[in-house]
Amino acid sequence: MDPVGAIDSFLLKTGFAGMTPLHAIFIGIGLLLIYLAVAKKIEPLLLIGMGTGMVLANIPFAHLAYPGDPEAGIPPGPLFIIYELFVGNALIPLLIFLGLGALTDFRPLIAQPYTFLLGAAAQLGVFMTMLGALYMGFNLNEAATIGIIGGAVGPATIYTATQLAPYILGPVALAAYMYMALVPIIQPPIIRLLPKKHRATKMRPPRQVHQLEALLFPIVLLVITSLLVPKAAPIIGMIALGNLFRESGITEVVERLSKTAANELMNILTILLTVTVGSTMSVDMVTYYSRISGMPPTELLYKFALIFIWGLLAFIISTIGGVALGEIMYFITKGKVNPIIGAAGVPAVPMSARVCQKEAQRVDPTNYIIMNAMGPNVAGVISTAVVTGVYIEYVLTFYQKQLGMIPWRSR
Amino acid sequence: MFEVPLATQTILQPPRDVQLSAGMVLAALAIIVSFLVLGILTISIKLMSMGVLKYLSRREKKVKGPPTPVTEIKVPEVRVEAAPEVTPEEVAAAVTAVHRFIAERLRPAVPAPTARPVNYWVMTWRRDICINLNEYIYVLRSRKFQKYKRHLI
Repeated sequence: MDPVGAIDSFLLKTGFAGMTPLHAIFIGIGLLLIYLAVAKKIEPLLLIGMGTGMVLANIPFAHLAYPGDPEAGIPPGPLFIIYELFVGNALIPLLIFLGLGALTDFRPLIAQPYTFLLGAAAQLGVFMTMLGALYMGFNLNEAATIGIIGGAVGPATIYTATQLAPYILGPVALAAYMYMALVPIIQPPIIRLLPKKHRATKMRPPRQVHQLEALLFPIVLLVITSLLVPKAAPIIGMIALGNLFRESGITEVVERLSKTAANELMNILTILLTVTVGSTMSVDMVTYYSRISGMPPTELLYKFALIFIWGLLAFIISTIGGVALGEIMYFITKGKVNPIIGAAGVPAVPMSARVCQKEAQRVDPTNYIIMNAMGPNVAGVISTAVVTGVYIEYVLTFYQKQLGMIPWRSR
Repeated sequence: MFEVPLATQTILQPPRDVQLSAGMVLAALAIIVSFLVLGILTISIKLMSMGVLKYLSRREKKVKGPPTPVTEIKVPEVRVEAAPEVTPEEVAAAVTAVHRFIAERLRPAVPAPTARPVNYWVMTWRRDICINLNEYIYVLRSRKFQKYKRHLI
């Protein structure tokens, strides 16, 4: 065998030989995410997996996220198999909601039910962004998916994307998690627009909630919400089930289930989800999405970039919506509600509630509103689930009526 | 399952103007439905809480019933041994030692002390009290003390 030829052929098979500018950009972004997670401690739980998934999926010739080609006899890559099995059919997002239910304490919300409305007001970004993206050239299914980023619930965003626009799942999920991590930077300037006197309002701590109330809450939530918005039933059902595990506390067995859902299961799902979502931002997956959507890769990448801008706007508008209703509540209650807690309606749990506490203490160091802010915070999760249900129901019905099919499902 | 469908044209979409008007309807609908659902939830949770609290207060009244006779609980007799007598001089000496010890420890380390560390063992020797502050062992009328007692004046 010719040694020069062998070395030559070896070099041509290395990743460096197959590297394109797009590969390099994606790998660069993946490494940046890992850096932000490790060095800057920005959402390390999520960004380490996403960054690593992105780097792995973009190694040329490794084809870890390759969708496969049955005609040529090329099998799909392992990351793509995980994507199809767990993310593509919305299994992981739903199971994550189970864990969220088991983790979340709804007592602050039960103690102050009016904070449900703050959660609803903080969905303003979801509506406005959807309209904005639609008018700026996105299709209705894409615009609805982009709008949900403003709901600030990662699994809800992924769930909506899998139902309405699977070909933009990667950037939408990444934008949602990135902006959730950036809540401490995005929200304070908006909160500081409120008058100082209003921000200094001291609120009465929420009352003690009886165990029976906490136990009945998920049942009431499940029955009422699922009956009113059936498409929200998968999400609300999972939250309610997880919370029922947590609050029932009847036997050791149920407690074990609750702990498993909140810890082990959640951790496993987080690993699978983050690595897989990261892998969707790869050359192989862009090619795959381009085939599904029929859009040229350049157009798809352009849309990816725009999604990040709209995602940021969604977070900003949602915060404005929450704070605006908080201000209205301040006037209605004659100064009993601190309008800052409206910002916690953006359900980046518990980040936005912490931001509210920090902002309140900035004006008055003796003011503690974190428990009051936790009410709208968990209400925001339920609001986002409801809006997700409405969006999915409406958009699917619209496409079915207009075209007689769901185009992205039939391709 | 993993088949990659080859696309030659953009995904089928309804006309643009239809999409825009549908988007407006969707936004309005979503606002109305979300406020409606959450409003209903607010009222339901409030009613649920009121019901639960009322039920609990009723049950509490039922459970309370007529006052039950108070049963006498026998308290076991506790024998307290008398604390060893310590003279004011001994206490003063110990307090002084502790004060000096704390002052020494709290003193800023920069510049590094050149003087030899004080042996607190020596300082705290008094007739029947000794405190080994160097090792954080406090001994009062201990066996250790008994061992060294004969060396004391």
